Amino acid sequence: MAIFSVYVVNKAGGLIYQLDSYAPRAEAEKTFSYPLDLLLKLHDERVLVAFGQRDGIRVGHAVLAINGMDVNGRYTADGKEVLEYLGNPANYPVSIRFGRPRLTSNEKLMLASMFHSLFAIGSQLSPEQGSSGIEMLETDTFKLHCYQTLTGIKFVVLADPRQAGIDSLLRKIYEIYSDFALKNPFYSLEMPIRVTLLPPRLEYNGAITAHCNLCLPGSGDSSVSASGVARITAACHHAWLIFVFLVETGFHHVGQAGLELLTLS
Amino acid sequence: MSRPAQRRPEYHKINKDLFVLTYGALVAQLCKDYEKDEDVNQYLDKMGYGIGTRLVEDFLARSCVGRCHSYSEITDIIAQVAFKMYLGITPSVTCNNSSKNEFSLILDKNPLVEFVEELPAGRSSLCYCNLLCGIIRGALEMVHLAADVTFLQDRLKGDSVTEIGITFLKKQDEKKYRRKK
Repeated sequence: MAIFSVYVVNKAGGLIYQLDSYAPRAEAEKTFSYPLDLLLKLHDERVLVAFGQRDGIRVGHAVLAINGMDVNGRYTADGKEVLEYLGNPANYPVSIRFGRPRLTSNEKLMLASMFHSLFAIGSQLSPEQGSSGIEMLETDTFKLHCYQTLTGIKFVVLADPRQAGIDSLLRKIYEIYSDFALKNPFYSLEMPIRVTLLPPRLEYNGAITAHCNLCLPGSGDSSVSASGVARITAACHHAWLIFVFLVETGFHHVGQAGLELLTLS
Repeated sequence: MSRPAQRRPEYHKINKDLFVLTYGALVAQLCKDYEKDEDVNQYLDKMGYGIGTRLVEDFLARSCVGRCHSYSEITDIIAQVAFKMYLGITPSVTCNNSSKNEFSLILDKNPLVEFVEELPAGRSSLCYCNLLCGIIRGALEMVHLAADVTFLQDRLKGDSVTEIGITFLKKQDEKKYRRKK
């Protein structure tokens, strides 16, 4: 049970903050010799498996790394084209890692604005006036919880379908947002959040589980478009404040519901 | 160890005097910078507006008030919850007109003017606490309510009470977002 992602969407539908925190997805790394028995094709700036599903490598998986070095879309880390590289027998044996392609920041931006539109449609469709809009989207692999504040900001959390207590988590995120983003005098409203925050630690059922840092490189300025550009945080600088979500990784919880929120000094 | 969902975070207490003195220094500096009272009032209002747009999220996050259905409900909440939360006072609310969109908050105690005896000579139309008006205006605008907030009466100017008037203007575009607070 875990929290997969957090999105904060501003009033105009622009993504102003995003965090991914899921455990590594099914990835398979294998060593291959020439000729490669998988059929690879280029799609959407990524190299995907088109045929030859086996051993954990499925159709649709993308080439994530070659010989341990992450690929950059269709190019290897050295700048060579992946397909060319893999077509050359001199480069074998080669170790390739396949996995589900990760979303790029632009894709996340698009998803956020699409969700924003769906949300608006949802409110319009309501038979009664004053509907709250989409509060939950359920699938078999995740549940999307959305909380829209009275000011129009949306907090979206993607979590495991069995995870409970997301409502209080959303409220808590709202509180933290109001504390650390808004009270920063150099933060302009509706702009991407670039602040490192302090953790209120979230304890799940009293047991401390692994946590994941939600931190954003600090700086108030950003050269972004009006709709907001999502910056996925890379490194966490030495933080004067770090925001921590507790995410369960590797711990098996047969617990009851309730995310406990505890503030530790 | 379950914790109630709405527990208030610990507020680190600081000396109220420091806050009052800071505000006083701010107004005094603005008076030095600008000759006209209207300018000072305007800048105080602008600053308050910036504060209000941010403070409203903090207020909504911590107080968990639900949607309001009328202007009088909103004014009540401002007076009884917001003022109490941030300034520790509870002004009383009166409705000024029959169309129910003009209200007054009567402050019997205003911590911001604790050390101010009277306005300096030549500054007779200075609204010392105009920051509060800006805060209320900014906060209301963030929940899609346009309002005019001014001081109707001010003890510093010789009136008997301090009165803040809130006039709700026509509702802004609410098509896309939830209905007004």
